[in-house]
Amino acid sequence: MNPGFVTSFVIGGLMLLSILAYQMNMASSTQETTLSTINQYNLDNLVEIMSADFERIGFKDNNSNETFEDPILAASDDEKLEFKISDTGATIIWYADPNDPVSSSSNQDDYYLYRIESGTTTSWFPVTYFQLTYKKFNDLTREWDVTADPTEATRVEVEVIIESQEPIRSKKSGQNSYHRTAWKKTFTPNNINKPW
Amino acid sequence: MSDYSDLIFLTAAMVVFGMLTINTARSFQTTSDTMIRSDLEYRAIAIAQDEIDAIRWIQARSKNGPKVPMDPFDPNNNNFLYDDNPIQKTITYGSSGQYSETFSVNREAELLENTTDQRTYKITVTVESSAVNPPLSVSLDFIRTLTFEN
Repeated sequence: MNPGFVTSFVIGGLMLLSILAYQMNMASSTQETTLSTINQYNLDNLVEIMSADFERIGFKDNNSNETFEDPILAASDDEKLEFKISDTGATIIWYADPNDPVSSSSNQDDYYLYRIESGTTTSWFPVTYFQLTYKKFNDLTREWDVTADPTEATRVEVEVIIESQEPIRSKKSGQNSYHRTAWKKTFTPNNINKPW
Repeated sequence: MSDYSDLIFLTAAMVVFGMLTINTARSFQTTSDTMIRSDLEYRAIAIAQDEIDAIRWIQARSKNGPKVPMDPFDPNNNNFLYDDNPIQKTITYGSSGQYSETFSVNREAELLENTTDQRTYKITVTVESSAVNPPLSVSLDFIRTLTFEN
């Protein structure tokens, strides 16, 4: 056999392998970037809608002298927030159900967070963690204490973690890695924090 | 192999290909860094907003008699809010605090206007994170006017 051919095949083979590895690496990086971007975009979307809603807590005129006074409703808990949004008594509920997994995603940990407006489900978002903490101001210690009674809360701490619906990396063992992003914010709605 | 020119061509091709892969890897690394920083920045903005919400309705009191305001933004006052500047805030995420990160929060109050009954301040909240290099910093401004009751 001509040694020239052998050398060419070896070098050509190495080049081909390099190109294949390069192509696979690039595809993997592109997938990771795309899924991360989509995940961050989903979080931003959720935060925007949630912020617009939570700033409206207490928006109900019970008394012509005292406007915007309805507190968070008693049906709320650490995964559900219910409040009125108008004089007619229309409500908004944000409600996460860990027992309601997202069937269309390959991520085993995500479940739905629902936004229900006056009994109609208007939006739903896949999340992997959703937690509400209610706080009230303690006049003696001048601190914000956690309260179990949502009706006396004037602050709500919201924590959301969402993961990409598809893995950014897959291992042969079957363990998948998902892009994860978290967000935590304490809302102090104007309507239930009025100083007058 | 016919002559050494083939070897030179191949070597040149491999060098060009190597440069291409390095540049591509660097480009993806930059994209990844940008995404991590933007994610961190998003959370830092939420912390700065929390600080501003905390002082949105704070009141000036005059417990010590008429025209002696208890101004929470006045460093000469006993109840000055920001005497522990800057504070370290550790935020935990997930059930039982799976993840956590620490931010440095600095609050400054600049007196813009001072009258008998009112003072107007520009509150600047700066949130910094050293989790990335160079450190990330987010600043939010808030204008607040205090009215002193007698």
